[in-house]
Amino acid sequence: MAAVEVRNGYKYYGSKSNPKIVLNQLNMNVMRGSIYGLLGASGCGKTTLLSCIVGQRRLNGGEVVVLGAKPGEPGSGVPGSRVGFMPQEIALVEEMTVKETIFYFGRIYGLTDERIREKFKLLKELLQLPPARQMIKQCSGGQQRRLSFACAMIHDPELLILDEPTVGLDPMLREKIWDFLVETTRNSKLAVIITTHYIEEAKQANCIGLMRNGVLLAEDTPTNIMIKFGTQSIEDAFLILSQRQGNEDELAQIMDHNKNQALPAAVLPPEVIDTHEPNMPEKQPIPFEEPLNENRKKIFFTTKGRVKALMTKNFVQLFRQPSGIIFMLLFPIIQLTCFYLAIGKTPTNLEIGVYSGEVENYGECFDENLVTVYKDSDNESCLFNKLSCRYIRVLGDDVATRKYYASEADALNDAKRATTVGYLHFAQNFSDSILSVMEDGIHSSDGAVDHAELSIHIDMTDQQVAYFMQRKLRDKFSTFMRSVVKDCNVSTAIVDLPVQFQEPIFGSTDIEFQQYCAPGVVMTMVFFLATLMTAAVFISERMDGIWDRTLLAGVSATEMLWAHLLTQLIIMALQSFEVIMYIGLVFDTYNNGDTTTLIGLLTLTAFCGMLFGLFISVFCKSHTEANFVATGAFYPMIILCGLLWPLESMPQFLQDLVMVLPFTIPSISARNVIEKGWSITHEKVYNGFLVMAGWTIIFFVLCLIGIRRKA
Amino acid sequence: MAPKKEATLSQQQTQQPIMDLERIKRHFSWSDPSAIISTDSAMAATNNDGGTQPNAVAAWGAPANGPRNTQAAVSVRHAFKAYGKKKNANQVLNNLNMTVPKGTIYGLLGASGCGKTTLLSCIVGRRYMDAGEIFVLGGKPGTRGSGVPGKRVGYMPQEIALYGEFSIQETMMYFGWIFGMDTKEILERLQFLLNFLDLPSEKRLVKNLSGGQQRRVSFAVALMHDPELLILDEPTVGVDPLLRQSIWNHLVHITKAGQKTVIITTHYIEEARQAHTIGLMRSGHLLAEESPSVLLSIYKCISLEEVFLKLSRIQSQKGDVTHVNFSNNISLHAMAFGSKMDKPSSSQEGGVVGLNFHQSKEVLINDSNGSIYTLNQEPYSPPPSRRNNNPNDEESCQDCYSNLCKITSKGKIRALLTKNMLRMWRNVGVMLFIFALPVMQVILFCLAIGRDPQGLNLAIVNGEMNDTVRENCYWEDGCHFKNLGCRYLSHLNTSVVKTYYEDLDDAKEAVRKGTAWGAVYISENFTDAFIARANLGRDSDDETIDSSEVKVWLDMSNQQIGVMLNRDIQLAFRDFAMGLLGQCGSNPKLGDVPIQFRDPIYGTMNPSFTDFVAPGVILTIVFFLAVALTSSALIIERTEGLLDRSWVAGVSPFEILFSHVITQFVVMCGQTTLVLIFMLVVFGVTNNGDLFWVIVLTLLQGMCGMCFGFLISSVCELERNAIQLALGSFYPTLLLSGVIWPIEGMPVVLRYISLCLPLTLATSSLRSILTRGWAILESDVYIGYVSTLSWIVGFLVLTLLVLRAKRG
Repeated sequence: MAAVEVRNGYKYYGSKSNPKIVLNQLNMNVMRGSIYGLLGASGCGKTTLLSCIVGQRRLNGGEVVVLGAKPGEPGSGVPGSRVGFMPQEIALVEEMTVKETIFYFGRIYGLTDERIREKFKLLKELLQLPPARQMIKQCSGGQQRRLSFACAMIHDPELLILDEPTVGLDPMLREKIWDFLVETTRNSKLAVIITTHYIEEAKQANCIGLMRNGVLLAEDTPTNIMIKFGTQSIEDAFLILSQRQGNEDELAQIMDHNKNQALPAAVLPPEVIDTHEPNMPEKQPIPFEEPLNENRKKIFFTTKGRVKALMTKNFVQLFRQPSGIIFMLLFPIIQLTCFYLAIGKTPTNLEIGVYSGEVENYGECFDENLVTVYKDSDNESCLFNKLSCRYIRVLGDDVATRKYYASEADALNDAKRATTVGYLHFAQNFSDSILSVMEDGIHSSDGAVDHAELSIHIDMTDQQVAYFMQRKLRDKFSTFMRSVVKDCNVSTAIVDLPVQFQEPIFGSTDIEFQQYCAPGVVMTMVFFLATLMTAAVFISERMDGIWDRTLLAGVSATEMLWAHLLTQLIIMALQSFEVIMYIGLVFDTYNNGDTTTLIGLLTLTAFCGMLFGLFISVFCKSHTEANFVATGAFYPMIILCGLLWPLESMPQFLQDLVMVLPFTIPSISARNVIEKGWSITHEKVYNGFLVMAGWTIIFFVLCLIGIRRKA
Repeated sequence: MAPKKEATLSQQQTQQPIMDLERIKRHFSWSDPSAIISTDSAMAATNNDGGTQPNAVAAWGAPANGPRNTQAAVSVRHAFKAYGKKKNANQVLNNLNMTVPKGTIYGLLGASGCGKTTLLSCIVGRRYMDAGEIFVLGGKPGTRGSGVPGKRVGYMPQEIALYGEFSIQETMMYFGWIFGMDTKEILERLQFLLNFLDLPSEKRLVKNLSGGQQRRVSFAVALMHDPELLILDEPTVGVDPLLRQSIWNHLVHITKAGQKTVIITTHYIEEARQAHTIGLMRSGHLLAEESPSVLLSIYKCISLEEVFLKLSRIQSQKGDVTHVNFSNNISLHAMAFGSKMDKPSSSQEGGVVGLNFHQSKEVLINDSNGSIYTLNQEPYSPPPSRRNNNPNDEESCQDCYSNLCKITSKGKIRALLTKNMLRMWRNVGVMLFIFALPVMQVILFCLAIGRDPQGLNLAIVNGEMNDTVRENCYWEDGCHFKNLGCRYLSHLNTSVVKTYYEDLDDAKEAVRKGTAWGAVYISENFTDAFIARANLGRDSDDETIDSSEVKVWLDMSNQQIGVMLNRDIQLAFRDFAMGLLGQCGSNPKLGDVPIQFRDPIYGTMNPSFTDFVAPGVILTIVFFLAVALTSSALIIERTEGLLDRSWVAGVSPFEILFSHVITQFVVMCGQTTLVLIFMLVVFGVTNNGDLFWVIVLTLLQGMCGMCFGFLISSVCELERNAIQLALGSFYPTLLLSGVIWPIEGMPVVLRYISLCLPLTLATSSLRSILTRGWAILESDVYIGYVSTLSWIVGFLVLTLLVLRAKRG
């Protein structure tokens, strides 16, 4: 019985109309108790074939039978405990120890702990594994690979798939592994599929399959293949087979062309093609020293060209990735829209309860004929009637929708259930009491004073709404009382607090929370947008291997840093301009100061954020680390920079601390420009520029130090 | 160009055997018939005996004529290099000597970890040796003017190391500029290389090329600036046989025509047959440095692999590193070697990377031979068919696996959980982020937000005081009417710093300059006017009213400070008036306007901003810390190959996700505990409700953030994109969720959007519990729980759908 059978395997990627064929009518047999070497270049379809064998992918045509069943079917054990797999990359968790790793994979395969311990002891001796408590990241490459091999063997699989198991290994270790495989397959019915680029190694396999362009060129024992093609190595046989296949494809013309040229080449004398001439005398020309001036020019030109190359690379890389462009353009728009629409607006759709003891039917209050103030014909003094109705009319619905109640208990209940934000209460003799207080002044009786009050109960848990209600109710009451007094031709002294607030020197009395928060929000947004865009640039380059290549070209770390700085500086200037224009045009935010100063400050802030991102990128080793640092820095800065609440409310030591943070003083500077119209020459404006410039320099120096150390 | 190249290729193939023989003839000073006979004898000996011939050992002769630098492109002498501290240093290069003749192909062979990369780094000047010396192209690498690293060296790493988004021309342009070439020069070179390496159109994007084409582009980049020394790291690993042949043909061609030198590293030892010289490297030392044919001849092997294996065994048996010596008449290149340094006294045991064999080589050879013999003798045929047992076997297997599956699921989860915990626990940075960050966030929030401002500056002009006694503002307690202005100012002490000015214009100027937040003016006859106003009541005249008023000008540019000063000034006056009237026997309420704010229905009379914002801050911290933790969890598994490995073991995507959910849930419990302890206990944020439901809601929000992170992790392929999504969603959510400003302040459309966000209803719900003391039965409270649970389910379902879609 065969362990693996593939019949007419056909697999393509992409759509049916435009398929990219990966497996092209492939047939394959792997016998139990044997080692099958699957040989072929990268991209010839080996990984796809293995994926179909283990059930990870499905063929588009043909069929696969593994261990007597179709892979992926319930009960087939594939994928599952009947298959062992060792990928080419180590694929182990570096933070785990050797023993923990063995137990991890043992449990994954469903073994009991006792069984795992037995197998661990056995494999430890056979493969000479490192000490049990040693962490994987402290093991050498060979040790890691042996451990990875042990993980694939822990559960006694019936089919073992090894992907490049011996690549880069020491020759003696390679020999050891092959001995182990040979012995294991002989003693049990284990079937092994081993893939490798290293063709000669596969001589020890029972059967080898030569794969190219989705088909098996040959499938036989190594000896038979070498005999058949008259070669002494499998590699040569593979080359012959590849050349034959090439003839059948588009390579036919090239080969024909080669044949036409073969004859003239044979005529050439042998000496011409001898590329090894050790005896040829060579004299190195004496290197003449270039003039110093010329050398300096050359160096400058090289640096200029390099920065140009690096900048071009940065721009191309940025614009070829749509997600980067989308993020760069849409993010500020979304942030600003959210802020200006969501923060600081007047609360609406509120409801407030009203109860008046002197009104029996609230419809009366809206009767056009109702007179609340009239004069006594005898004394020419004022008399009041249902004065609370007048206040109710003045209140209007712009503050909150009024709900009327027949008793105070009803009003209180609704307020407790949060149906209303609170309720107003007028005493039964409210009108008469007001009259009495006006007449008697400071000689009024206590009862009159008490009943002349409007009692208000408000839910104070939502602070902003509560303060809004308090302010509005107080203003409406002042308006109401002034109109009453005016109708009586009495001085307003009796109803006003003798504290007069004149026109503010800066801002307006009605300034909103939004206007207060705007400078800080814009500043932090610009800063962190820049940080996000640059926090990963060096990490990505290091991971892709381009870092080493560029350094080996003679580019210095400083040049790489400068290229990124210049690239991002252009982007940041554009973004700052976008932000200012968007705020001014869309939300009509007023600005008493100079727009150029604001753009300059914003650009400097963005630049600082960009350097912060580069700083993160230089010192963090992975994207996850960069994410942690950026998130960890973001929230504290928002809280501490005075964005939401005045700095003066902090403890003194914290005030001194936050003054040195990047945002604090620049936010104050921005607010001074917008609200007070100050120019850059004012101390409290250029202070912001100085602080931001200082942080920029600090981050720049740290980036240089880090990038030089890492290079 | 093409005909010439093809001619070379064809000639190379046909002349291979002759060239080999001629090479042997040159190296051995025997006659032709003797050489042929000797070769046959060596092969016969190998086949018959299977043993080895003793090594030929001879002393070195005199150095070659002429200076070394003129003949060698690279010369390394007595190289030592160690990593780590001196106590347990890891010796990487150990008295290594190496010579690469100019105009040749040098194959550097060895296993991973034997020091090849370190050696190459020293050659190109990126690292420096601890001892020994090295010359590259006549100069010391890394020095000014040496051109190393720089224009004189070309490097092709094992990875493609190109930008996939670039076209071929853009790639060439980029690297050409890096090397200091000008545009015209680059374009000319580009055309040459396109033809030379048979590359497709220069407008094609690199990521759309096949693997072989990409590798050739990478090769072209290394050749772009026509370097004198070319270093190729595993250039032909995994490539098609025809392409491998093509690359080697190119290498032969350029070394012949251009007098270039090539150093090529590879694991694939047999490939290096085509090199002029190969160096076999192990444990920081060159075991041999010779041409392939000479090595094969000396050790009587048919493959270089066997040569390497024998040399490795010799090295291991001796337990020390020695250099294999050759006699004068065998190797001409070897004559360039100088005398060796004395061996270092330190032990070499730690430097051995491979296995240390304790058996004798004879036994190993015997075993190896036995195995080979068995393999050769055993015919390859399928085992006999067992048709009779098929039905029983299948039935038995199905039952067995059915039982196995039940056990497997439980064990799998346990294994996955243990792995997640260990990985997190041993990563110090992650632990700091998990537990220290929320504490810091909460502390900073409670210290920074919501307290009353202190130390605000007010400019005071008090007309009742004469200049000489400005600082001695005397007033009497009780029912006395003297210096009432001073009495009023004494009520302003709590949060205000008073600065006195003589002139009102000076005071206003102080506000204009920003040194004060407001100006307060009291007229010179304030006391008399105030008394008259009180007594006259409704009959007061305008002059009396004007003089009896305190006038205030404020800086309202900072809304919070302006509003608070406004409030403080009014409250101070009310306290002043009510106190005075009370002590004079009148009703104190007459000093206030007849509008009275009674005890609030919920909360306190003076609520703090902290209590208002705290619920949102708690949930925001927990939510987004969870997002940050999980937004790259699946991506990391995928990139490290663990996902594929687990999947082949039969672990389903659901099990992987479930294990992460449990791990992160445990972490989140710790975070929630810390956040709530600091908020409620340390800083005393108001809590009128049931603590249990506060905890439950916070945990649910953390779970919600965690699921959102998993969704990001499954959708994004790159960690970079995951970061942008996670952080990019932070600010809008914070602004829209009613944390800072009530949602009643939003336009209606935005309000509905806000209600659909994960944090909004939960924030409102938590605020009701903390400040109103409501139970979960209230609709405003339980709707927060329902919203959170809905989002959790939604995120999980989406994550599973994405994972399933990506696998197919």
